[in-house]
Amino acid sequence: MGAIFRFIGAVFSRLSICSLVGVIAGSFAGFVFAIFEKDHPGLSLSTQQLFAVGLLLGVTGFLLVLYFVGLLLRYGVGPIFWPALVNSLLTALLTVFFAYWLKMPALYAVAGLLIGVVVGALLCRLCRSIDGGRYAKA
Amino acid sequence: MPRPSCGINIPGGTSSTVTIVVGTVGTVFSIAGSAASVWEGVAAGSTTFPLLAAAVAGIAVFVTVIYFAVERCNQNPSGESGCMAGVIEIITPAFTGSTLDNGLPFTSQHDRVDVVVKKDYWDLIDAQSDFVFCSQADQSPMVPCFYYNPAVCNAGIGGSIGAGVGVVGGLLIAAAVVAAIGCATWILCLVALIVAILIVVAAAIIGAMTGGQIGRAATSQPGPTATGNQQSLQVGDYVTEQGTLVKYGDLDNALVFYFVKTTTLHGHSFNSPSYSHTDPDQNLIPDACPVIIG
Repeated sequence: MGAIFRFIGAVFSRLSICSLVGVIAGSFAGFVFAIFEKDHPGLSLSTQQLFAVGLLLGVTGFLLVLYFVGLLLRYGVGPIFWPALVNSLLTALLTVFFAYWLKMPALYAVAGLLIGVVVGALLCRLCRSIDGGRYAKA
Repeated sequence: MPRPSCGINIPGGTSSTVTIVVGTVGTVFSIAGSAASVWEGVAAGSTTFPLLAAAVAGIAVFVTVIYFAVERCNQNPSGESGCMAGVIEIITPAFTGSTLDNGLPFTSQHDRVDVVVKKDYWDLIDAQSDFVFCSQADQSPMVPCFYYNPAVCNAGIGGSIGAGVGVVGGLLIAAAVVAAIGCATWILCLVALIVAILIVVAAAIIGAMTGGQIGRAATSQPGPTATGNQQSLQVGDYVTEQGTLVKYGDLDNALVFYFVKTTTLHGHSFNSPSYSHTDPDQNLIPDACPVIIG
């Protein structure tokens, strides 16, 4: 069991905390959208409807981020609240639109995870240039 | 002998616990997402999918709690044997490290004793520590020494059992709620799915908190003591610490004893905290570390 955890840790070890927040939000959004599509095969959604789905998944993913990163990993809810909210919403929206275009549910969660890594890395860079990286270093 | 620089000497990455916990969550969702999408056992439009999604989210919480139990119950982490001596600067008992320790006891760290070490041991710290803790007095290097506390391990085990029970209980509640919401339109289905996830995750967290508290309360906590006479350690005690030295990821890869195996108590300093290395340098002669000649 310990070896599995260490392997997972090694795979993700090079990611910044911003990207790790994106990992949770993206993989969650991709996973739920895959389940949702499986439950409603062939469902056609407009851009506004996709946007609503993305927001819903983003807010739920944000709550998971607050628990895992803010509480469980002791970063605190206050310091990560706004950056994590922006990160989660952006990641979930991009994941939903990309997944809807991809039409391969088996890859949605993995795609979401990768989107989260990229969005997180970009936001980290943005944060560094704005506030000297308080969130990135938190 | 060069004085180790306080703070970060070699910039490290994100701590091992953070990457493992987040990586585990991402892996659980990714594998479950792929598996669910190729699974053909359930008809579309059923209430099974929301419950399946909720179960996976609950499992993600459950597995992360198990990680803490595995990590905190490992009494023999790999590392080299080492010995250092000095004066105790700070004692942080288990479950008092942060305000979250009471709410989430399964995440608490073991008893920690920070020792201002004698100058003789600076070379060990300088060579092996990416981060150096220092005393307030004159920035003398300190080594965090962790003492295994069975209550921390049992809080992890209790938390794991509680999280598992919480997932099962949450799924039962979620089933009733999903049936009540129904799946008349796609948006209702999505709302039912998300509500089910939130119910099961909340139940798993509450279960982990409760189980952790039970595990903690059921175990006696002797606290850090000297070997032999079992005398409780105090701030200002002169000690020799022997145990396993590791670079600890959760403390920015600082060199720490994880865990201390033997503590020799030599007496008490006449000075008050914070301490300088000059105190044990002058007053702790000799210490109990084996002398290496050559």
